[in-house]
Amino acid sequence: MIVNPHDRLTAADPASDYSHHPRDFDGIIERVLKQPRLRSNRVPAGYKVRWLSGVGISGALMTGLISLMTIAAPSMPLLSLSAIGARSQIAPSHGSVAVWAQYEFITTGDLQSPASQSSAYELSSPQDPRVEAQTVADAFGITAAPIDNATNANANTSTDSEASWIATDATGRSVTYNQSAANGGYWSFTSTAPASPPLIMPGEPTGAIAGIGNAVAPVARPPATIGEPTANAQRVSPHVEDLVTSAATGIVRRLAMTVTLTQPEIGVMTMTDGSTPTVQYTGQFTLAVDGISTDQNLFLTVDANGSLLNASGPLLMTGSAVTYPLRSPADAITAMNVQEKSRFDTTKVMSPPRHQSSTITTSGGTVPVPSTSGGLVPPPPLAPSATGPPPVNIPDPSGSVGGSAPSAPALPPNSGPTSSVLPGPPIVSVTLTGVSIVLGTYQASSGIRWLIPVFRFTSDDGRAWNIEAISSSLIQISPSFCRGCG
Amino acid sequence: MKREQENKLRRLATENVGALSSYLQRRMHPLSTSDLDDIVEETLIVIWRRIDDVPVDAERAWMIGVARNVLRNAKRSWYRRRAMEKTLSPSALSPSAEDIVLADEAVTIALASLSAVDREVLLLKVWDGCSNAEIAAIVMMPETSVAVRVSRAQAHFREAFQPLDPVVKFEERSGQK
Repeated sequence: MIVNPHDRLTAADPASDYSHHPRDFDGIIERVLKQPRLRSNRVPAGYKVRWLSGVGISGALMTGLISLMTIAAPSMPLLSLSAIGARSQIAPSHGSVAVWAQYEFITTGDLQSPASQSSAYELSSPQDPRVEAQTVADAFGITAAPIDNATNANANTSTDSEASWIATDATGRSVTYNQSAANGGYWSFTSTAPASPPLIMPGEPTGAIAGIGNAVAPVARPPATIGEPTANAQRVSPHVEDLVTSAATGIVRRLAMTVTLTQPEIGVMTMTDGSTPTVQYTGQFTLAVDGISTDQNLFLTVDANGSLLNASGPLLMTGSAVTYPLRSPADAITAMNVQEKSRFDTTKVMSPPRHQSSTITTSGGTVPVPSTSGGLVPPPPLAPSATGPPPVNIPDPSGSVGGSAPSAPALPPNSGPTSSVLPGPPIVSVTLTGVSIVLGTYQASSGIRWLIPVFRFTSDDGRAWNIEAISSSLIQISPSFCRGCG
Repeated sequence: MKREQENKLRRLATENVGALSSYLQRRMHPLSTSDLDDIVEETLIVIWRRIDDVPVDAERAWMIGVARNVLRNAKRSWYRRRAMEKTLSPSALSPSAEDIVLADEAVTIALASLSAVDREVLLLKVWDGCSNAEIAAIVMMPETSVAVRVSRAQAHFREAFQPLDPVVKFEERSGQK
């Protein structure tokens, strides 16, 4: 048995001996080449990477389902809400890889909710995307008219129409605005040219934008404020903090967003795209409403002079607020455990993992499991997990996951019917040590998007776990969630 | 000009299709060949649309980043479709395919103890063989942060890894419930 952790992890690689070349590679290439290309924004690679990040994040909020029960009090909206906040679910979001394990949440003490009630906020619906794109372009001082970017490479929904507009000025600066019913408006700005006029100058405490005169009239919105840096913020000089926060504040102000900025994380990045390395500063800010953090973020990069190089974030404006009673943290934790457990209680079958030996025995006996077609969606369901503590025999990992002496041949992805089951999931205990309230983004069946209060539990290992905080008598949550998909 | 770009795509595809396929296979295992080809094609379409934006010094990382987004979109579409189909039914979500690919329980548990981001950078490092610079491009993080995260993830993984007999460990854990 391999005991070295690194070696075991390497041996567990499901594609370690996998080499795939599309059967019809030439055909794929020919079909790809028939697709229209986007007009290049002529953005240096490093900046483009950041821009892609922003767009990616814009779509990273799509999963889950909740509905408010119709017994809600008259003062509360009777809504059927589709969750669009992956972070509202208990599994940590982010990252592409999750593992098959059942989390069991426990607490060492009695966690108290910071409040017994909290507001949910209706979000202003974006209007005509062209108009919104123009507004965003104006905010960034881009005078060019937006054009329909119909071939948006990141348009990703088949059921949710997404509009994409782009405005590029003569200097190469551009704004892309994406809008969909589920995600609302999301913008990104890129500046190509170091020689172009700086968009945001250092030392402007109100975040005014230099070089664009009176492109946008001052707005009568609550001013943006900056919260205290978080403990995990990278250590940067106050001057750098000023550069970055000033830029972020200016963006919020110019976009007239009714949010504040909090929890800044500021980093330093050295770009090597050019002939000489250049230093850039990155900032990530959490958007907050009435002092409560949301699941929405603003990202930006400035150069050493404070010129904005790129930025991205949502177009977030709150409307009416409705106060809901919150359930207790204990109830929420119970719900999390029920939700976790329910994922593995249902009798399901799955195709065997590639490197697993052909038979695993549970207390319930060996259950034959036909190999599925292995399609992308839906993923194959689980094998039945026995109720109660099942004695499980698992093949020696050294032989089953790519060790030097495999006890069974590795299974190809779709090798036809086999006789195999999986054991129940390993239980991973998570000790919750703190709780706070944040606002998660949801969409009503009417199309209106809402920010609703969510409990954010912190565990002793530093992770965060989110679940809706509205009293369970007012909200019904379907336990679907996205584990590692967003 | 167009011929030049077409040749560029052909070269990129030829040189990196293996890496893309392996990346996708690791995250959505098991994938049928046809499904894998579909996702590869979708990834190449995005790359083709952005062919002028491919950074010369980080082609593979950039392409994996595109594949990452395509995969994310594909998953998201599935979750949304599934939610529409089962609006109110309390059906539990199956773990994603990559959840169940790890037959090594000790590795599974150790990975589960990591944060999602740490897990991702660690697996990009160990499974996909990416450099810190490549990981930085893929996960949109400064390289210095990636270096810290990789180091931390490796340390946490080593800490959490317990090469005990899986049967005993599972029974012990189950018994705690």
